[in-house]
Amino acid sequence: MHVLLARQLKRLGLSAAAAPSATDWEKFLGHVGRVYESADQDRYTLERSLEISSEELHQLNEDVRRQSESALAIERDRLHGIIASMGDGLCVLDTDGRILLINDEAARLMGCDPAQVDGRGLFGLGWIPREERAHSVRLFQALLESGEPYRSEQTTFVKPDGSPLTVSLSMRAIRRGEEIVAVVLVFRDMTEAVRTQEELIRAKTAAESAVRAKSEFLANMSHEIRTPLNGIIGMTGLLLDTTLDGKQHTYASTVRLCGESLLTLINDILDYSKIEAGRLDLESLEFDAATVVEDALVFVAEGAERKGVELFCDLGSDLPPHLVGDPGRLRQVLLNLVSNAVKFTERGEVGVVVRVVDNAPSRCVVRFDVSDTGIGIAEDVRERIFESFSQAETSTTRRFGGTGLGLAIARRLAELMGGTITLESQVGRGSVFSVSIPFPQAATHTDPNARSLAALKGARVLYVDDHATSRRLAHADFVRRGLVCDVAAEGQEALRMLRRASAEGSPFALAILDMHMPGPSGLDIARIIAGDRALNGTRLILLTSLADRIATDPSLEVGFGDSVMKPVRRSALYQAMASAVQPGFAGSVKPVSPGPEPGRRDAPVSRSARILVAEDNVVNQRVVLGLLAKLGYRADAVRNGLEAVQAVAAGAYDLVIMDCQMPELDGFEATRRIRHLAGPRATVPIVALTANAMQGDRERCLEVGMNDYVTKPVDAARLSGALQRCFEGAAATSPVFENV
Amino acid sequence: MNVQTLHYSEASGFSTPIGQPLDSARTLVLVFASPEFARHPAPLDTITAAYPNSVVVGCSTAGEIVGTRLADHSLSIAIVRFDRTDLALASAEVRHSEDSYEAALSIARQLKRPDLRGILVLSDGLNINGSELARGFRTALPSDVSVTGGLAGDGSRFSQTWVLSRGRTGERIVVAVGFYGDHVQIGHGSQGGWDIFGPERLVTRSENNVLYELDGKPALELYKRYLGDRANALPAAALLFPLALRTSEHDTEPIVRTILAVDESQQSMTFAGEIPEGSRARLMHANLDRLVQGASHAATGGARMATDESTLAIAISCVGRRLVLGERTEEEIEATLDALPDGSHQVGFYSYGELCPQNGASCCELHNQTMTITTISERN
Repeated sequence: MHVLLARQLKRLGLSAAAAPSATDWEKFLGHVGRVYESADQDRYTLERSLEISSEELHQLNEDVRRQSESALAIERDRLHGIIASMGDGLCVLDTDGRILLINDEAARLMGCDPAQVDGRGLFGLGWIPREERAHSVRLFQALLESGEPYRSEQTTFVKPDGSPLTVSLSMRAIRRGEEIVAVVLVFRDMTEAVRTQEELIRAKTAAESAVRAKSEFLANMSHEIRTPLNGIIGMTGLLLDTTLDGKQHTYASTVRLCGESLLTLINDILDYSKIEAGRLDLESLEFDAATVVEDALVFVAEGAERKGVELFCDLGSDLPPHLVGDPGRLRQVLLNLVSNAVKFTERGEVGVVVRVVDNAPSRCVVRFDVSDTGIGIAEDVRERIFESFSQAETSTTRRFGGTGLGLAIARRLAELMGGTITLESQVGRGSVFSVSIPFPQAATHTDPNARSLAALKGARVLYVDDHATSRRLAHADFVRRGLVCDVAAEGQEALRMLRRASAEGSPFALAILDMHMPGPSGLDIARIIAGDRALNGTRLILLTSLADRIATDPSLEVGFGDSVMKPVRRSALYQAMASAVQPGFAGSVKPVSPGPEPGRRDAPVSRSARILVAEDNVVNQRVVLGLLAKLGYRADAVRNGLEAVQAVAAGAYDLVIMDCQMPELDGFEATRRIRHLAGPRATVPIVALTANAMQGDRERCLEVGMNDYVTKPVDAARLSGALQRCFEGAAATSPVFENV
Repeated sequence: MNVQTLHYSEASGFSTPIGQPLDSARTLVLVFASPEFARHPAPLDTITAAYPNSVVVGCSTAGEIVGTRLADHSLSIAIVRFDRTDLALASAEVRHSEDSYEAALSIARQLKRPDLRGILVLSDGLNINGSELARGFRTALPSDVSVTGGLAGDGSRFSQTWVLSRGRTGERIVVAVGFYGDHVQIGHGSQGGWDIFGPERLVTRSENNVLYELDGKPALELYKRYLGDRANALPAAALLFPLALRTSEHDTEPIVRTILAVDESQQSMTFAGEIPEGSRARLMHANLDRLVQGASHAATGGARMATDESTLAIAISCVGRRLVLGERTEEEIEATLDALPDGSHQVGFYSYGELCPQNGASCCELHNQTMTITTISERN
């Protein structure tokens, strides 16, 4: 029985078995009826709930659907808008290569109607040139497999009318999850870009050939100009060797001077254009900076002496004995500055101060200050003077001459070497040009002056010079090196000091006397010292000038001591001092003292010999020429192998000093050609000048027929030796390469 | 402990004589009465007089339960004399439902002692914010003190409820009994058995426990639509569709809220607890069997704490359930007694809201549309 029915019976106290009373029956029916009503109501409520709930959900569903449709439509429109407005062609392909979507730009570029290509396969449309079709299909397949995008900077499509269209394109795969469902092809018309590129290439090629033509022109012209110039210089050289009267000599000398000036100008122009073209190569040698500085001063010594301008050189205390760089170019820069300094100074002094600015393990920055007490440079002019062809004032050119290129070249060279040139100046007071250049440290660290200085340690020296700067520098230097040093400004003071020292029992071991002083000259004082028994234990060294040298060797006259020519080379001075203090001292480094070495009587063998120097670097050229001049030889110079061959063929040269590295024709080739000349000229002795001291070079020189060789930087003794050997051993068959 | 349950009706009087033997300072007398007894308080006075030392509390109902019997127009009475448990009585006024929180704090203050184990609360059913009341208890009491009880009812009239304490009936009062000592065991269980259906709706306008709009449309409209012809039985008819409320996205268990009143002019519906704006509501409907099953489960929950000795089970069931169960309402109180230990005594009433701890997480929550069982027993 239903539990509710049971309860209802129970409530009324009825039982299923017994029939109820009428009242009870009525009550019972009432209960039952109520339950049925209740059930009806429940069902009504339930059904209604369901109905309304369903309606609500349906409504909700419709709302959601409408909203998402609307959102979707908006998105779709947006996307269409973007695609339509794209500046590149866009195609969407399905995995079979059929076009699902094509934008307006693509249709326009390809000259087709979007409606017509829709749904068709891309590879069958004819856009792709027939010969490319198979390859394109393969690329497409590869993309589908790998998913890797494909890009081409330049491809050709074919338009329906058959004309080609250069495009850049990219294809990317569109994924849904892991699967690739479509491919996007984007392409851009490259016609303009390609055209522009071709024009650019054309312009570039034209520009390059123009530059090349210009350089070649310049090279040709300078060669063309130099050849007759060399002729002028050479011929006048020959002329000067003949017997000429005074007037003829003067005229011929003038011609030669003009020729040399012209040559200098040409060389400057060539150098400048080389630098501008970036075709200047720097050497990388180990060299002694002190020598380079001293060289520059030596070159201007004559001019300075004539003007009465004193030269000095302050090498400082921490200059490394060897640096790595291009000594020739460094010399060129310093020489330019020093000669300008001398040129623009009427009185006072010109000098070079060398300081190490930065001494890092791998590189050493050295600053060279070239100072003068000249006319100075006005502030507004200072920057301009470094520009090519501009001088301080036009009147300067008239007064002082010059090409106007010197400083520009000097600055460029300094910059090429990784350095700078700066200027400080005061009008009427003077100028200081500062060159700072970084040099890698050399492997060699031995001080070439070590032996000399060891011999001098503790020696008492008196330095006598009326030039204050020289006194100051000498004193500082000697003291630093461990000598005991006193100075005097003139002769009488010097004698007083010598006498006092002697009386005190600590006489001077050495006295260095400047030749030219107000009052008694150095020589006069020397004589007095020599004649005084109390004083003549002191060894003497005279500092002479060019003028003295030309006249006679004063030290020979006095009979003791040595002379060192100004501007003084440090090593030379030390060596002379060491020799003076320690008789029998033989220096390991032969002093590069211009002038015949005392005690060595060179037989001026073949001093009438005429030597041809082939060297493209003008400064190196001058060095060699200078050395040859001092050694008493006559010499002419050419700048390249071609000129050398021509000169040998044309002129009568007894020996050729041939630089190995030269433009136009290098030394080796020139030698080869000379050796193939007709007649005796072919056997002219040739001494090689080379920067390299390597095994291979020796063989090469031998091979081409050179007789001897000297390494750069050129050393007078070695050069002299080589020349002597060549002249003496002209009959010798095997060359002697002693200098290696 | 000693338990006695009896009932009273005008027609048959007290079913068992009442009297002295069980009166003591440790005796609790519960009287659940049909609302009209406020106007005819004679039997209430009799009881109060018969148990001068005891704590006598009670309230008006939407149906009285004794044993497995549901009656109207009657009194359901339980007398419990504790052996080792102390009792205390507290009360607080709630002039407006906004005072609910403070009332709970006050009661907690009055009853708080270190050995407080549980509180039985009987509250005004209409001028109360049940969830605020519960919140007050949660704030003021440690979580190991269980607070159970219910909101007084007024049949299906929803017009006036009262609470009995200190011998007098009164409106706008909350009364509570505290149980002290280590021997009292208070168990509880609460379950609904309602099913959620239909779309989720957003509470777009509400104020405390008054709901105005769902999804921008008047809530009352929605109810009327669902009720159809039965809408003229509002507010009682709204009990057929309690709300399942989720206050935040993260709530997994919704709270059930029962309607208390309807205001046609405001187009508003007052619920027994807070309906915060922005919460999500869905309608629920009842399934008779599930309701009964729910009640059974509630009793099982309550039974866990009960000892083998005599147990008093206080069954407080929601008026909404009675409306749905209709003639079969007694099935649920039969089910509960079945689930309780043998020899348990069951009294209770149909309320306008139930108070019970929630899953051990808090000491008191307001529940709606549930059967809430509180078991009280003593162990030695």
